[in-house]
Amino acid sequence: MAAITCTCVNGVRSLILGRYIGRTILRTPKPVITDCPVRNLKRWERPYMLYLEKQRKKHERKFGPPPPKPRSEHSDLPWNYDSELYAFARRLGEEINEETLRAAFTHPSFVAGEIEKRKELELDVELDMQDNEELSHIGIEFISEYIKSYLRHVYPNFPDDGINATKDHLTSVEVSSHIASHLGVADLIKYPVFPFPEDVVQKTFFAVVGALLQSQGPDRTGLFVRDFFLPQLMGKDINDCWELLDPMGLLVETLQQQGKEPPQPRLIRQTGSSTLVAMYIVGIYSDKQLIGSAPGSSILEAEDQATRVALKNIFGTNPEKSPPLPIDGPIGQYLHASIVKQLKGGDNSERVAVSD
Amino acid sequence: MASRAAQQWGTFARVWYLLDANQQPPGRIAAMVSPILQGKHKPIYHPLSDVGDHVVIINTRKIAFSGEKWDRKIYYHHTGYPRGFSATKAKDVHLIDPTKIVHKAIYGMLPKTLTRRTMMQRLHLIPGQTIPEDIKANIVEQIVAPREIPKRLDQYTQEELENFPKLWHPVEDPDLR
Repeated sequence: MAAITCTCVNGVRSLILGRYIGRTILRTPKPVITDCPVRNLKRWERPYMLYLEKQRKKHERKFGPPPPKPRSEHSDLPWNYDSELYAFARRLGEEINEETLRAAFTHPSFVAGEIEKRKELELDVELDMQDNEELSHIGIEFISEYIKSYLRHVYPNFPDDGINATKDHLTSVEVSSHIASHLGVADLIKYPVFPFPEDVVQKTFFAVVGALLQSQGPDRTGLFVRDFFLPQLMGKDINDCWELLDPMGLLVETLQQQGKEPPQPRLIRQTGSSTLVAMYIVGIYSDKQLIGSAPGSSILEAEDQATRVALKNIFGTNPEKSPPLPIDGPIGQYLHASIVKQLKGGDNSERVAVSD
Repeated sequence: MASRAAQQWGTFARVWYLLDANQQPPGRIAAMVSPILQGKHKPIYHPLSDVGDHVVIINTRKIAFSGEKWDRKIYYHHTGYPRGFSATKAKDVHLIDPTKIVHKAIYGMLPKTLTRRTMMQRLHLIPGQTIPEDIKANIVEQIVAPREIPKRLDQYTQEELENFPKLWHPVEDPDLR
């Protein structure tokens, strides 16, 4: 079916009803028609479409929206799993070993389900299916190491707790399954229940990364992680990933370690102190130098905020003052190369196999 | 950069200004105060946003009209009832209520919308020097008064008078006249 945009004068909208999408026609002075079976809309067609749409909406209002269907059942065309797998790898621009990729998408409970079925049918229980348990562990380890190494390079003064918290956020179920769904991983998963739970999608995604690592090595896999995980940090304050319960304690410790004077909070400005909407600006000073200031609705809140700003300034993770993440460009490329070198040098067991 | 909530609180906080009206012309005070009550000095200004600040004006009793306005300027008022028209000179109005002239001047310079009354509620006029404690606690900034107060002759020190540059020196010998 060719996809044609409709710009007809009478504003007929193409109804989302299966294959009728392709039937609408351009009615501009220079129409461009590509393999469309019908030249014009018949007089009865529009009222019929509207009637069908009305029936569908009535059904939906009465019985709720239709249950979600797996991608393989979305259209009447036959679903070829093998070609979909191949297309998936090519779409990502990677060459992955077919068997490894197949294993990456197979959940252990699917394998168990298949064995059960065979037992019931009294068939031979010897099943050649591999599951993605091991691959997902390999994948998550590599992803964690790459992300942590990247963040350490970009924010050298950021403590390990913060880096781990950011890594946890990026590899969390919500973020990973969001990335995975948009890459089309969710369509190829082999799992007994549909719709797939988010942690299954996450596990499969990590297994895909593991499969890529086994096929191509840490260089290409590192680029993959860099291109899909790290942009999730854009526009996000990475300090928010880290839940700090005692910022003042941490600030005192950090300044002590750096050999600087302990922090002294001072009230810089205040307005409307006797009103309900009072505003106080507190500044934190170390050796009479201002290291951070922030407003707040009470003195305590302003002090807390100012301490957090001071910590951000010391760690170099203040979004207002630090440059954007160097994901691409010459800096990004150099950064990637040094991370891969570090990963290779630090942990040689990561590299399991060279590409086929 | 503080959290979004703290930043927002700081952006939209209302500031309390102080202005000393001693020896100041009420019209020029009004011209300075009116944009502050509206919030026009802020980049987040919008007429419907209610972002105006508070202004506390002290010493309104000491305002100084230029020229002969105390005698010539008439404040007209009609109560709406028959025989309700009155015309009062500025000096009489000032005697009755020492804040009324400044109040009327500012009220006339604000936009004639429904938000005007709200802005006037944020204007605090004090005839004398003593500010109530709760208002005093809120004040954060001072507005520079528009008129530079000239010094009286008796306010100059003896050295200043002696060192003042003279055009000519009076002759000592009376015979030369």
